[in-house]
Amino acid sequence: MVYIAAVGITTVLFGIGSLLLISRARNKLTDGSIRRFMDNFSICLAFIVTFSVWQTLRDIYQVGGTFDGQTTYLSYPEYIFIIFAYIAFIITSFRTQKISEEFGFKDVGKKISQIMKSEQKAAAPAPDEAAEPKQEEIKENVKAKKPAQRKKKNAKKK
Amino acid sequence: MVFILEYESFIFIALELHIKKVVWMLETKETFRKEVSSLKDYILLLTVDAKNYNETTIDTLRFLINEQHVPGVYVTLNKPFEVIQRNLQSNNIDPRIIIFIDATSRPGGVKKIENCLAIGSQEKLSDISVAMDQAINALQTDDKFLIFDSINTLSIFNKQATVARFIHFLAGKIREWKIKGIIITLEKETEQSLLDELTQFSDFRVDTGGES
Repeated sequence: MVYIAAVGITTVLFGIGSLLLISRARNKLTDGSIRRFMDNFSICLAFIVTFSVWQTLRDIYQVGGTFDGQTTYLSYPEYIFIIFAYIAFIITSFRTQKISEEFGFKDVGKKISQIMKSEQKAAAPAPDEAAEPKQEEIKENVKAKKPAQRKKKNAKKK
Repeated sequence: MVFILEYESFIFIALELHIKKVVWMLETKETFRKEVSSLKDYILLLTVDAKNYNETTIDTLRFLINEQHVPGVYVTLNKPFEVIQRNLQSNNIDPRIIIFIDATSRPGGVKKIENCLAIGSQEKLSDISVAMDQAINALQTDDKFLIFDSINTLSIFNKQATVARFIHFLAGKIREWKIKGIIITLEKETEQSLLDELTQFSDFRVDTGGES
């Protein structure tokens, strides 16, 4: 029983610690979507912490529900707290979805890269145009080689 | 005719000053191009005069988009997205490759319109920061830019200490993202201490305010 109480107290301490951290973080933020998300998240956490506090107190004072499955009216608030926590979690998840829709730029980023690629393709020379200079280069090379070849032939004749 | 003869000297002085200003601006543009075009990432502080504000903004975007072909993010606190988009289109600059973060005052909170996120207020710095981070990371190219327009408007709606902290954050983030960061501010409207701080963080400072 003592072990269960110790676990309960530790859980409550962790919960209170995280509530304090969230409150400190919230104070640093300016008003807006992120701060509202934090508010929702802290409400969820508050319900869970309250649930843990209630359960721990019941364990310490050994009132209400017991391990053999018998429960009294003192254990009912626990259910209420956990139900509210889950409702708050659903609301928070919904807000997260809205935030991702608002702040998510992944699709826009993809569109931009497609536009950039199509622009690069349009700006690049056509394959025929690109081939032409090569042919010209070959002709120039041939012209340049011809005098040298003639010289060699003349030298052989001599 | 008599009027012209009477004020001839004044007219000449005014003309001379105007020509000087134009030459100075051209020189500024040239130095800006020389200093910046070869660099991949930098923080540039653009201190502008109210008269040259529009022209400078358009010129900067023209340089980045039409000449360097770099996509980027434009954070506006002065003009709504629609107005900037129209201005860019009329100047033959493609607004499709820019993600706009519109922090001008609008009713209705956060809204997404095409490639723009309307934050709805100049005071929601946390939202602006998150939007900037998301927008920059969404761009899939190596080269990208971020234009912050403008610091003086930010200081109208927020406390000086908050603005200073935001500048620190912005400079740090631009370095972290390794992008071309351009911070615009009206020279006359910005407090000297803030301007000094901005200058301290930036790699270059270009004044397009002309001789006052």
